[in-house]
Amino acid sequence: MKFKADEIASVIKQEISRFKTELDVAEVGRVLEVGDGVARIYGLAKAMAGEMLEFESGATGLVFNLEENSIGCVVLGEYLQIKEGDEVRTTGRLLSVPVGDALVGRVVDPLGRPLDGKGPVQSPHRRPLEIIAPGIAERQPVSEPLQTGIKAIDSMIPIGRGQRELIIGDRKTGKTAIAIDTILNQKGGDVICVYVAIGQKESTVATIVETLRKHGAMDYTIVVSAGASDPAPLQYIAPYAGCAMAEYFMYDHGRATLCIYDDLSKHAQAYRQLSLLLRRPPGREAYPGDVFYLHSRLLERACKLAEQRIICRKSDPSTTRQGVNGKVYKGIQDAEALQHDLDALPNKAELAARKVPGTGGSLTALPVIETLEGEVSAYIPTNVISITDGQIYLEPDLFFAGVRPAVNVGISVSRVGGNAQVPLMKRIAGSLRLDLAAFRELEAFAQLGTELDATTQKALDRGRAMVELLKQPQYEPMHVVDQILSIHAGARGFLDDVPLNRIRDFGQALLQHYRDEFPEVRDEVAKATKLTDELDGRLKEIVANFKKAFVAASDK
Amino acid sequence: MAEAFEQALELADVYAAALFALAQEANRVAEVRGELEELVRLEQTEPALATFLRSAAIQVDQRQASLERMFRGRLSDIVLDTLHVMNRHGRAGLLAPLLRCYVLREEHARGQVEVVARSAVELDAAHRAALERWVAEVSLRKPLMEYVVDPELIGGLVVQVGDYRFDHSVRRHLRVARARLLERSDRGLGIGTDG
Repeated sequence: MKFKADEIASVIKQEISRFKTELDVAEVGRVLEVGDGVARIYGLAKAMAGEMLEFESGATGLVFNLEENSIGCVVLGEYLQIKEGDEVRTTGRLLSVPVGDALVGRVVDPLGRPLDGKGPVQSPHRRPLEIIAPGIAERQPVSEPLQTGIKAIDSMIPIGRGQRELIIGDRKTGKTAIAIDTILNQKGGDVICVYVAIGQKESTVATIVETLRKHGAMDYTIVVSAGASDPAPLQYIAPYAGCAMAEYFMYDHGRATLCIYDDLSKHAQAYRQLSLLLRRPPGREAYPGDVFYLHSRLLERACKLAEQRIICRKSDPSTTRQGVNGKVYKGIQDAEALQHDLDALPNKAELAARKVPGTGGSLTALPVIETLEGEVSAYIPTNVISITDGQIYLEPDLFFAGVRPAVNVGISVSRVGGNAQVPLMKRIAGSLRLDLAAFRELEAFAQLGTELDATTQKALDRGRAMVELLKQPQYEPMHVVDQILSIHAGARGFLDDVPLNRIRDFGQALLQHYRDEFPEVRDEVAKATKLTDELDGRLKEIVANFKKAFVAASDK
Repeated sequence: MAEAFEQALELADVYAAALFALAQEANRVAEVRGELEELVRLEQTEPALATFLRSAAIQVDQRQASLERMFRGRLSDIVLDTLHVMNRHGRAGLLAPLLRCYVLREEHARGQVEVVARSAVELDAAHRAALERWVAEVSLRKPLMEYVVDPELIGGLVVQVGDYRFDHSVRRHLRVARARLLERSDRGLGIGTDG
């Protein structure tokens, strides 16, 4: 596309005519020393903690330490160009990042600068990196599921929208795989995903981005990357930047969002490095004393916001924001008042309670923590475990035994639990965790080689079949209806006598059978709120007939 | 180097604060300042004194005894005792930064503020008077003006009042205009649109 010279000239003329000279007022200090991503500055007596600073070289800094005669600041960006004696100005602003739709599909650094080579990120919106988490009145309990697409998690450790669920395990146990599969499973849904890579290899992040792109997940995902070669200050602010980007959708548009912080162990290490360089007193394991607060203030920003509801006419458009009585009802605490007011109105047959558009958003956080040698009682893991609403614990032994995802359901927990589970799944998977725990105990007993009674043998067969059923390949998240149908077949014992190496094929073929022959049953399962005897009976009949055909085909 | 001097200011300010407080209590602020200026002048004209004060090869006790011999009766007790304290902490070489911090504290106590006004051309008396009035209004302090001619500003003024810089120079306006045009080119020309 060619531009005419006079068009360019007219733009420049426009810019010049709109240009207004303004007096620039700034507090100015001087760099005393700089190195390793931190700088000490003399002057700036009125600088405030967390304030943004501007260096002469164009780099940005963040006030970290306020000392008597100097300031310690972290340099966000290229600190090698900063020299001793350079001028530094305060900006009077807190650090903020660009947010908005322009970031969806992009790979950016924690300051919102593009890393994917697709041009500048042009967004008119910005949000501060750090905000105070919403209070009690602004929240409501978590009640909607966030489906990960992973059978072992959605059935026994269900995650709700607005929950914080920790993914914890040793290196190479599949923590990131769970996170990525969760993102892939949001395809076609309404969840905006943010994946924050902290201290990871750039090659790993590139592979993740490519995987997301290949599966069409970049259409609803933002990737924020502060790699291993990035300075510690960028790694420090990365999760807060990702959270701010997700909050734009949650607060301003009432959307459901998912934030994955991979991983917070490296985040804590980056914070430790900054704190030690700025001579903050080291505590346990040389971490600064506020390392708990580092993560708690991040994870507290994950929440389910209270929906705002109004009473409006049934014929009013869905975008209505004004109620007939001018009142707005917030969250569960106003539910009774809403019902009372609705009943009291004279024309209540024409009226309905409706959610105000753009409210009730949520931010679900999946922080990742890497343990060493399975030590979950180390400092940072215990900190984050105490903050989150549950954890998914991945064991290397399970991983190497071929159980993938290697989730130890015994010690994994979701504190939100069945409140955030599809009702049918809750019913079908109700006793699954206990059955598997009993199986593990019996398995150890069975290895003694003694003769077992029929009941014990049956429990063992059931357990082995369920373990096999819960195995799932990477990048193949499963729809919740498929999960329900699959687990139903296992829970009703249809897999007990299927050879273990055929269970996967059986499961896939069964689901295909449902899709091809009984799509109406799938639809019914998707809408059902309870497992009636009739529905249970029909499903059992379908599986039994299918199994006959499957076994017969296998025998041939 | 200027940068090392500013680092030293941070250290010297602690001693300056104590010295100024003592001088205020004894009602001898101006006298102490005069003595410090004398000492700094001596340090600058006598390199041997500067070396003597800074050298790590001289033991603290030896230096103390020498200072006592050199200055007892010639300097006030306040100033000499401060020198001894600084010597004990290895800061005897910070005389110039000490004076600078002391002067700043004195100016602050008197309601004064140092102001550096840079302009592209020499300001006439009327402009200077107007500038002084404006600084006094803005800072609520009596300005101690220093005028510097800096042709690189091209036009306008840059006034530094304490830590605050007021920049209304043509050089800065051109830089801002350049940044805006560059930012506009990032956004695209947007022909036919408003911004």
